[in-house]
Amino acid sequence: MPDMGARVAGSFRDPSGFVFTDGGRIYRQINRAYQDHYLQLMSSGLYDKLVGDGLLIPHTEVGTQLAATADAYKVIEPVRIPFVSYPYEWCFSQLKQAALLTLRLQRTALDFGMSLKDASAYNVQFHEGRPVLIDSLSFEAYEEGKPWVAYRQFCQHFYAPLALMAQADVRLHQLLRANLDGIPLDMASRLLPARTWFSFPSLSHIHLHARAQKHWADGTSRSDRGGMGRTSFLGLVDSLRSGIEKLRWQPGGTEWHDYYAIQGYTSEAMEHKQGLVADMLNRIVPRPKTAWDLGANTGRFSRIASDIGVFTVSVDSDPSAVESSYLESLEKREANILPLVVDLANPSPGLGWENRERSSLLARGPADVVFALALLHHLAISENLPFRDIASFLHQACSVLIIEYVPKEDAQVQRLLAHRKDIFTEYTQESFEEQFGEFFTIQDSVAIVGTNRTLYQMARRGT
Amino acid sequence: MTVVRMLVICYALLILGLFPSRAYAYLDPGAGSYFFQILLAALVGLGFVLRVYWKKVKAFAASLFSKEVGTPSHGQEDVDA
Repeated sequence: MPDMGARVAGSFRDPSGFVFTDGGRIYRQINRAYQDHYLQLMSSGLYDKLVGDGLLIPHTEVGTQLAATADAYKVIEPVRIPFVSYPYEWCFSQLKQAALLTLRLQRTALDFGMSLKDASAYNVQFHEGRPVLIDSLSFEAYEEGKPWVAYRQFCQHFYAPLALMAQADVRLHQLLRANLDGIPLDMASRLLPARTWFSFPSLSHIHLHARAQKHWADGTSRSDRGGMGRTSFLGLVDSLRSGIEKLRWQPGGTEWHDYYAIQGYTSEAMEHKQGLVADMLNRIVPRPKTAWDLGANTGRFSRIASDIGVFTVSVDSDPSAVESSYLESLEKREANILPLVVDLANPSPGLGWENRERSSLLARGPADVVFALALLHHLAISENLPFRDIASFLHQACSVLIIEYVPKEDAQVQRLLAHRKDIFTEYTQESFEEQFGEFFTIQDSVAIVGTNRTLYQMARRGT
Repeated sequence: MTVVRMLVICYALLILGLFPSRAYAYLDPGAGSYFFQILLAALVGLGFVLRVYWKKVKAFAASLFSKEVGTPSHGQEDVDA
């Protein structure tokens, strides 16, 4: 029986059960307190319906001898998610789809006499390109008359950030990093533009909701005042659904979105580079299972890996680029690519209790292979990072590195240096090979036709 | 002996059945959110019913008209009620 140290750091709030690891595998313990709800989930047909529709992660039941504590009723092993991501890393549409999933789950659950007891964005993960609920213990028996206990959490985790992204600024999803239980509604109310007071969904679910929270802050009395019938409940869920559907955001117009149109690769050069990346990828032994494409933009090169079955996390700091990439993955029904919004100079840190509830980006690695294409100069020049520091970071992130060296004479680097003093005396190809050589063995280097750039394949040194 | 054992087991099961264990929602619903949604739900619930009802009325009317001109009537549209 594993000890309590095996419990996954973020899994402690719900007395119904928790997630733990054992022998490298992930399990969920169901405590006796949750037994009836679990039985209803499984026997009512709700589990089969949700798994059949691809909305809930499937699981298998395993023996209780694996249980971590004595009050276990059952232990289940859910299908494993290849890469855990967090709402503050999602683009607009990823968060919107996660919100609509949650509402659809609630809607369906009611048909089977159940209801969601929480509506946390952290209960949703991306699996094979689509959002799924991973917390099988989120369902409880529906008691007609009771309001939705998760309404507040839904508004804070989903409605508020989506409204802010669509109607104020798309970068406001970053507020989710500082507010792990979603954006406080009074804050969202204050940040949203005045015109949102004239839209019924924003008016009700954010503005009036925020004021009601303040007004009834010490609501100890009148605990049985009124109830909520099933129809009203459905009306509330439907109102949230239509409000979320109406929130739209157009990507584009940002510096990076039109990148490929302006950065000056001839089609010959682009084809050569794509071919080189594919060759280098195919040469890796053993065959890589996971890839991270850092500074991936709209994922053109990420797809070289994901198209051949390598699970690829496609990371870029530009919300527009990631949005385009995600929409493309939905349209093409791609199962192996996960686009995410991350600033590599300030990547997701460990957050929450003991800084361990939500893991940092590097803690979720390493990947078998990392692509660092057209990235080096942005880190070295825009972020003033020495090559050695960049190499040290990448060394933690992968076993094999495919990296593009962009010389100072390159037009893109000249653009970066256009309005600033060139203090980058160490920015040379010799220096690059030397400093990276401390962390990696250079296996191959090929000049990209039609450019002055070089593509390198490197293997990390040491364990 | 076995009869007694069986009776004990049945009795135990009956007791357990009468007092099902409850997993109380661990989440704080928020007092303000709790009351606010009751008010809101009453309002939107009415709108929801009207919308669903209106769809049914429209579907019924459409089926009446298609019968009149002799075309096969379409099934009532799938209303998500």
